[in-house]
Amino acid sequence: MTTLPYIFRKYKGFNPNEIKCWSPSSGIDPTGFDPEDIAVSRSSSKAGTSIPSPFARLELFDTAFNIIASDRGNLEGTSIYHQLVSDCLDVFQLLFNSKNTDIGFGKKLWFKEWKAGENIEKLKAKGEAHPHNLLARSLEQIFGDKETDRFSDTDSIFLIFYENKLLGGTSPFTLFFTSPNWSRFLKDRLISPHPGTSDGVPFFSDEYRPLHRRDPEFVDYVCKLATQYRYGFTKASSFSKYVNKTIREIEKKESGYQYKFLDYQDAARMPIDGEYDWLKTNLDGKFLMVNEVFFFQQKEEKEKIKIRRVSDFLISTTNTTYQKQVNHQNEPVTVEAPLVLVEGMNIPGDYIEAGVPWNSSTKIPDFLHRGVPLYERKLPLGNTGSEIKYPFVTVSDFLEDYLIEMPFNINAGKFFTGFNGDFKYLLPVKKEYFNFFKLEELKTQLSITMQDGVVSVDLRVPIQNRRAVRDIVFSKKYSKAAKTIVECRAGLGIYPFYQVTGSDPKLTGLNDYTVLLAERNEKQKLDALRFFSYQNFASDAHALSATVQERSTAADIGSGNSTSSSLFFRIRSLFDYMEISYTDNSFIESTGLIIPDFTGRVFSSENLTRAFTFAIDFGTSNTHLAFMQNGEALPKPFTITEADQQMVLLNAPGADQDPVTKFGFYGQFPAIDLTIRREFVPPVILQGKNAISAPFKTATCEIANFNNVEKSSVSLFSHINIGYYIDQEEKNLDGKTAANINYTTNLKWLLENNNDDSNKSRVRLFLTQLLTHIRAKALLNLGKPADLKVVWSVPLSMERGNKAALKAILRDAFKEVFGESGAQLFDPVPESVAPYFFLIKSDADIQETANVVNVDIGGGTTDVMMFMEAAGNREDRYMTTSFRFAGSDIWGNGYKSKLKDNGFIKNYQVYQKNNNINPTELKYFMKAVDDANLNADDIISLLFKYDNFRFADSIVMGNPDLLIVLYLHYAAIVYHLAQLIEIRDYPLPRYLSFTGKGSQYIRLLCGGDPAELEAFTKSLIRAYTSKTLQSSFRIHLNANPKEITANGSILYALSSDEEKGRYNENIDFVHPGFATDSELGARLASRENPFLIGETVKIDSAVNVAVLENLNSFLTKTLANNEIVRFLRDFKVNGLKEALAALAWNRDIYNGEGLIYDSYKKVLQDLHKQDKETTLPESLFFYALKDALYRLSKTINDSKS
Amino acid sequence: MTRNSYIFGIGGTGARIVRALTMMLAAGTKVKDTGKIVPIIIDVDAKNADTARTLQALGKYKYIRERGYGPSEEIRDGFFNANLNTLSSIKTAQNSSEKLDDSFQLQFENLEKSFIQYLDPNDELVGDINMDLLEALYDNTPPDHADFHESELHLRLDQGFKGNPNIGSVVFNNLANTDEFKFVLKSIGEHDRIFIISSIFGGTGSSGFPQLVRLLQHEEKLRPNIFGALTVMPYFNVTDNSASAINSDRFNSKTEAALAYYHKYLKGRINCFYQLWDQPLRQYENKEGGMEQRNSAHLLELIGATAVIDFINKPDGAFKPKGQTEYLDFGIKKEDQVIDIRHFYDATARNVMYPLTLLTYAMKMHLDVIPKHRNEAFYKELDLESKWTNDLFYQTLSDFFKNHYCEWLEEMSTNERSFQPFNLKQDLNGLVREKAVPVSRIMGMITDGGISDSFLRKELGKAEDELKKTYPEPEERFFRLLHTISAKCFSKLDSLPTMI
Repeated sequence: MTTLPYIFRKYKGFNPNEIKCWSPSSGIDPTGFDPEDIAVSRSSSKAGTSIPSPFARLELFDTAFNIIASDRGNLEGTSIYHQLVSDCLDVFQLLFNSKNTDIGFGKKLWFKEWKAGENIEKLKAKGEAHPHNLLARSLEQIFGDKETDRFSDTDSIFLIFYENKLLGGTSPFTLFFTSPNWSRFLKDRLISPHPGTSDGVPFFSDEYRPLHRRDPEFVDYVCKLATQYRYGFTKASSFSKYVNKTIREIEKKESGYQYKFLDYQDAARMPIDGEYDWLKTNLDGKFLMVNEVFFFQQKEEKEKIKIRRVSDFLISTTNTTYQKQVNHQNEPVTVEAPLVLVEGMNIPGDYIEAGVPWNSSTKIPDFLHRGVPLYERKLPLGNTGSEIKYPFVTVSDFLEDYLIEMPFNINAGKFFTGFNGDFKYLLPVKKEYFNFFKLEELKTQLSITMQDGVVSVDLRVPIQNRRAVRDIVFSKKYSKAAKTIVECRAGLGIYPFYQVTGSDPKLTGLNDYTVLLAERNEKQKLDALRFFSYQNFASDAHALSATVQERSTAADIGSGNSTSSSLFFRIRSLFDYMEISYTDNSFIESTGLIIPDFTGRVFSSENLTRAFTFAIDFGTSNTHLAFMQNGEALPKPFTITEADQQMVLLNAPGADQDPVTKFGFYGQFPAIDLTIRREFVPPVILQGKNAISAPFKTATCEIANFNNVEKSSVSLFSHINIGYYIDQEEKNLDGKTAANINYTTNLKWLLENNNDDSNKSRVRLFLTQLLTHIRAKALLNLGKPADLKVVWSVPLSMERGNKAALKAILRDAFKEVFGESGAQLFDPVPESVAPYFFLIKSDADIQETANVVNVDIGGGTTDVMMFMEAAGNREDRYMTTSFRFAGSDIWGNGYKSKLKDNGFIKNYQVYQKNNNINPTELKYFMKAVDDANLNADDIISLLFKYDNFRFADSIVMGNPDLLIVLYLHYAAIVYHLAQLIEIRDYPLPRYLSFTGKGSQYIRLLCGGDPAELEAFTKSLIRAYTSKTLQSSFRIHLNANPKEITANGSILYALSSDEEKGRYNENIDFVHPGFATDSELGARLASRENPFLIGETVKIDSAVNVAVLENLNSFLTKTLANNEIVRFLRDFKVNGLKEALAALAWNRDIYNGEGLIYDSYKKVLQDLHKQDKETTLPESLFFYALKDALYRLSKTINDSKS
Repeated sequence: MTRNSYIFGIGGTGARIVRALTMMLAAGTKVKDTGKIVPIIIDVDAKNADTARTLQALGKYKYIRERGYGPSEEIRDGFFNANLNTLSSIKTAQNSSEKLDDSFQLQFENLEKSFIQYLDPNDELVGDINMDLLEALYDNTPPDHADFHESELHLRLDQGFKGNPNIGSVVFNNLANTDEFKFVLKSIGEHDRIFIISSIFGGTGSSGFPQLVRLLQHEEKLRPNIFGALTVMPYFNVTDNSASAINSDRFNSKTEAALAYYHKYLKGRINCFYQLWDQPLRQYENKEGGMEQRNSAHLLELIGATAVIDFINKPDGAFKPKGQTEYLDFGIKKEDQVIDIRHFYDATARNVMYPLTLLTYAMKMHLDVIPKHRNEAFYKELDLESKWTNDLFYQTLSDFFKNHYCEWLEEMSTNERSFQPFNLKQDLNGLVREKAVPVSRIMGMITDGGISDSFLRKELGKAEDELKKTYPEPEERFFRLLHTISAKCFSKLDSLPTMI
């Protein structure tokens, strides 16, 4: 029988057949321990307590290394020994991965040094009976042990504190150990964040990791350290054995690894400190040292290189803007390509360690990325706090938490929405995306779907992945149910809508934008609207410089003065996109991107090739713009069409065919309509009754207290703009006119009459806006700025000083708008010359070689040009004159009256009521009548604007007697023309042409029949002069009389110098307005002794008397002329006799009667404000009529009613 | 040349092995060239029931021996012959007038507090770097924490060190301050041997052992003395009770940790190092020392006690030179769940099992046989009629047999692994397990009844007649009588049972 003997011994190291009873054997060597036997539980680390030494903890770690490093030990396992080894290596690696900046008292890491000798003496000093002596004795037994050399070289122990908790210390055996309290601190979550390591596993976790499974950088470091500090590692023999075993393990897979560090044996040749940073403690700069081994920290750069090399989640970008950033100290920093990480993602690939895949349970806590700049980010590692400083991006870097819903569909034709179809949300993409990608990528990477109220946004972020995964999808779902959709009631418009690119600053200087943000947000408060360029780093700090000004306020909405608030942002540089941010009542912050799509609207010297000329006819009542591409035959009126829309709104336009209706649709945000009309730019300017069209009223729309604002701080749109919609203003619901805005008209003369800063500003900004329209129009039609010409005209009658002022203002405005772009502003063309240029070039059938007289009747001024080409070889065959007797003298409120009570208005109000004329536009009229800022001719202008008012009917059919005023106006001009021709001894012209907006009234004469008008005019001429008319005499009226001046200006500007030269000579002439066949007439004809203002000062002066006599003569020759009386009666115009009676001067020079006398005296007074030595600037003839016609209209109206 | 042997039994296991040693010596196990054997029980857990039983047994042994043999130190055979004595029995040259308690125990004082209070009763270390060091080395879980049972700095010291030799090693240093220990240092003579028994998985033992070595060898004159040690590794489990500081899950790792430490620090300091372990089979109820810690005797303790005998009996020349350690393991012939005499190799059988067999016969004689023979001459001559119940010697002896020896045997037999050398419930012929005394029959008639009543009666009478001549003192004569009759019984058995 064979039975096996039984030995009461657990561990190997004996021969069982030799042990009988008590028999010599061998001591139990720790290498015989089987590490796998040991129960696995973290608290097993208390096993160290069974070592009979206060330094049991250190011994325990030593034992662990001994066992694992022994032949039987397995480097991998789950025993307590594996845990201890792992914990020790965790400390080692934690220190290696730490940063110098982490170390310091109170910081992440700090040290205390326990000095053995010093402390033992201190404890002993209490005396033998003192309990401290017991501790002293115990410590002395260890540090004074002569039998073993375990602690013989150890004078002190460094205690390591992590996040202000004692982590452990240094040990001569294993270099480091952890305190038995440490795991409790972790368990109790007293250490925050939980320390972690570079390969995704937290330090001190239940996943024990042997050295060879750790970051190769760290492994190499340990090997190098062990090679370089051979002596110190000999002392830490178990640790050394472990390192050697690890090297053998690695050698199996990486042949030659064991020889890799041989060079480090010679510190002089291969000093380790060249590769790493010294680990310096907080103790007077002392280096951390154990057994004369020094320690080091990994240089951050190496770690980054490794991650870049190894990770399968490296972003793949097309834009490298993110790489160059500046830190808080404003120092430049280079940012590595970030990893792309999504919490819970299940994507194959190594994370930051070769062979260590991303763990899908890894949390990505907010504190790692929200508000943390890329260059300060640390990678998420399991559930631990991270120590690996390396950038990563995750969902919230590129996608917003909240989606902003607009009250309209986004204008997909002009903005990138990311969605194919109606979409009312702002892009929830963060601007920082553009530090990595371009818009083109966004278009392919972004996909948005909507279903059941949930908006799902997927952004595919490309990565470099060796497992053929091409991208990682950032996903967000937004819904109202989840309260992640935020409603915003706002609208936005960009003016102008284009970009000027290129390197030429002269061109790019034309990037000058105004953005209107109109809001009616009760729940949202605007944080910011910022502008960005793809050229720059995308961050709040790199927002483009912009100014913002609030115009209409929430209070204005409250008081009914406005329907939305308005903010005007001015950006004087190219921008690519905007970011808008709001905070709501519950402090939820929402942000969205607005990315204009400038396709087809990106201009540079490459595509700006065309030459354009624009003309401004800045009129008293109306202003006209015309333009022509050079080489075309004729100019065109200025338009803004859908194709070259200058101001583009964020909201999608309506579906209507009519552009005005189409662009007057704002989805569920109609509140913006009034704001755009009043404060901004019309979406379209078109020829047509419904549309804002050129010419338009010369009016500004201003903030109510414009006069009181410091003028250096007013600017376009934010304070004032062209009042395009003056004729479409209505009262608000309370029946009031808006109190926060004013329309100002009559700008041109405001300069003259009240030459203050406010008026200058009005004119300047009005012209500025015009110029911006020109600029936009030119660019949008590929006009080359250097070939752009802008011409303009001034009436001759404008006072020289005012002319200079206006010129200066326009020049400044031009400079501001066109900068150094090369666009040219021409000197003003005389208003009287300009129309002729158009007339002879257009199809007006006016022979260039015939004698032509053109009368350009504006709102305030009439300019007469005589081209007596057929008057022989006269030097003075060109003559021009100008007088302030024009449209507003019929339609206005008399001379300097504020009342809007002229006969035409009064008559209309009755006529409208009697005939039940209630067009929709009536509200505009009602409002205009009440608007203190508007005067009578503003109202008449409005009445003429809309056919539905039937204003002409109110005169022609309602009260034809009122036409006397019109006929008289016309007759007075013809009379004056006749006297001019006589004094200059010209022949009568073959063509008499009328241009100018003011000339439109002529169409009301003679039933609008040109033949009758010619007949009537012939009658007048016959009555006024003895000169004979050619049989081919023609009156020429223009369909668009206002446009002719501007058109002519363009043609003038483009004409040859020789042609222009003709009119450069002094061709001005003023006929003071007395009878030509008088003594004064002779003096006038001689042209030697010009008439001075001084000659009119005394009311009984010869000049005054002669003028008034001449007027009486005119009235008689007209109103008492049988032929004329008959003619007019045919057109139902009666009361000529009464009119004559009312008007005519009774020949009392001092205390005269008659409307013309009153008028003359009144107007003369103002003339006398000027220098008396000055030559008469204009004819005195019309002074007598200016106020008289107004009064006559009232009289006629009164007499009827 | 005789020498004294100082046997330090540290902690519960130390005490239990000394208990087994006491039984073995009571059985008359031979010790060579030895004067006094001075067992010194060191336990911080003053209330430990195991320790208390051991101290009782020692006290009774000492009393029985003194009454049985008188003050003589020359007794070399027979039951209770070894001079198992207390420290106070030692006379020292320098200070003979020193007054020590007559005790087998060395006591610590002021242990009714936590470790940190013990070290720093006045909180002087608060804020001191030494406190940081202590916290780096010891668990500092505060009392209000769920894991307070893990706490080391706040562990109360008067319940043993609960598996915390790292604490014990510090506290043990206080031993050096006791008068008893100072006396030990003085009393140990040049040739005296020192043996230290400890367990390695508990608290007190494993911490006291190396610390005791340190404290003793700190004394220059003791360094040449021969040191022996027995380290007992885990041989039982305790029930899982996670609130307890003793967690046998950790026995192995604790053991190994300590072993590794010994390996490094005790090499060469101990001449003879006895190692003992057994596969833990029995789950002991988890008691944290005190009155409740009363563990049944175990075979391993008996084997442990044999190590002491082995050590004591080694001739001086058998030890390795100073600085070298001889490690010894114990082997039996075969592993079984139940161990009996057959399992042991010859030397142990001869030196230990044989005396135990005799003592067991003696116990049977004393408890069962002799009282039945009150009419016999030997009974009267020894005046047992009155003394049996009135004399403290007989009473103590009865008590020792009944409450110590028998109980010890019974405990071992019911423990796991079980040690059952004797069938205590059977008649004397069947007492020794696996070997019955044969009864001869011829044609149905008993010709030899083995250890029969008649046999005993005859032999008792014969022995009394013989012993009267040599041993006038009735107590010693009674010892001899018991021994003689036991030997007679054994002669019927002829030899110990063996494996075939």
